[in-house]
Amino acid sequence: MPLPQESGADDQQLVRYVLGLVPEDEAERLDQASIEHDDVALRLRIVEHDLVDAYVRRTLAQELRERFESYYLSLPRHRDRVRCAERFLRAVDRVAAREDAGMDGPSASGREPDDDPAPAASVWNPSRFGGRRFWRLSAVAGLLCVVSSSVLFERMRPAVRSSDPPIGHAAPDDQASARDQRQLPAPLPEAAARAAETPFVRVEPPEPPALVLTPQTRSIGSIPVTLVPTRGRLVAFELQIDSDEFPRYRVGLRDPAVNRIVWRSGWIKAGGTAAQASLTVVVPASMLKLQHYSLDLDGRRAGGLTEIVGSYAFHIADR
Amino acid sequence: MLTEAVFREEPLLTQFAFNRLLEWLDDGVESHGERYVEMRRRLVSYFERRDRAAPDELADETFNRIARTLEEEGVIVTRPPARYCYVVARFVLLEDFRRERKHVSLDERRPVIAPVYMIGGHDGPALRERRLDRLDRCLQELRPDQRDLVVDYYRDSRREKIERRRRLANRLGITMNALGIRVSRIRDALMACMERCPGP
Repeated sequence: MPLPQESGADDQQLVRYVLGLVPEDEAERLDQASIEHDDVALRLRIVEHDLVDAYVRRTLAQELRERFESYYLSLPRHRDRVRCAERFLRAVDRVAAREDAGMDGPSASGREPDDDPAPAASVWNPSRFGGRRFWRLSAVAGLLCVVSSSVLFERMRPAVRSSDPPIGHAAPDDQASARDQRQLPAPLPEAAARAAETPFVRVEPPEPPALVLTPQTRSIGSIPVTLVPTRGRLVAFELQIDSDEFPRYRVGLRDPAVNRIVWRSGWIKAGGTAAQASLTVVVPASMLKLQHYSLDLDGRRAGGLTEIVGSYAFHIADR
Repeated sequence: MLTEAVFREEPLLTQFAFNRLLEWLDDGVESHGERYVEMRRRLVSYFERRDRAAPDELADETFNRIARTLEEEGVIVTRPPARYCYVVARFVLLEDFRRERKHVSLDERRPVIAPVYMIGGHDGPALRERRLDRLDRCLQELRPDQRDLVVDYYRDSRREKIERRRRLANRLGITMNALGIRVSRIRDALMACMERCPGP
């Protein structure tokens, strides 16, 4: 019973087969095909790899994920397989990050195995972009777009409350967060001064400029650092995302010391450029101590389903 | 074709019997044992999907019985060899079901609620880094073109993943399916390099 190659519909059938969701007679037919037919056997292998990878990458739809966890992960051998996939994908991402950082240099195939991995992306780490003028210009262009749209937004919206939740308390629920609009794009100094002159804006410009963060790739390079802000100020972060696939996002500030979300933004839309989607959030300085943090990014789909998108590590250092 | 002899339990295969099994599996096309390795993998996966506690042993039992049939009958009429492997495997499976019913309640075979599994939550940081370093070294041991292929194929690119893979296949002049097969094999080799990493 050979299956057509590169057939999405048949891959769906194989996914259901792997997850024990097909009727018994169909399962027996696929059992036989998986042993007897080379193309089915190989396709099944690819499908199972992709299914496990999708679970590790957290891109499985909720229903499939639940079935995967309740059925597939009930076997110790499958749990081992997922653990191995995690390690494998982490290693791949690490190599990919190094290759991305050194794209203007020698090709990946010519690189010595002992080369140090590139440090994580940081606006204070120019070697990250090296000779990649294109990406630098794109980042500047992206920031200008964010700034210009923020100036327009600032002129149009009413006053923003500057009350900050105390450390240890999560932000209010979604409706309150939407009203509160804690996230603000980071304005350029002159634009911020102009905005501050209007009667409708109460927020002082954050300092220093937005810290650009990329998703954690488990690289052993340095974590982006921002200096401890002046008391009462705001700290801006620009989170670069691989693709803008959610209508809304929410950012949570996680304190690893207590492993809890200590601050959360409202549901916001991504901005940036066509080349690089990003989100800009502004965190009250009073929330931050001299330590590591992470910004956990969630995406919310149209139906209300929330998914974990990524995590962005950074460190607050003393002036 | 199938006789009572198939169900007897016998000692392990002799080297001669094993070589004969390999030759039969190759079906006229020398594979240097690769056909055996691939067929064993399929049988193990089959027994796994059927919730068997010892899929490796059942796969070996399947081959033992086929080798005995070859030894006693001289020839196996059922073709291709893969079909016969399935037929015998199915008997081995049914036998294992019967054995299990005698000792274990059917309700206990697969737990209703799987143990809580946390992605990335099982290794301490030091152990995680050691394992990553080991896998990193395994990646570096690949040929540069293989390493680039694996990294490009599996890197996290979300929505662009399919398009990236399509571009890879086009660049290599092969189908998406062939590309998937190629990287799956490299991946399995990496897992073997990592040790104790079972593939599907």
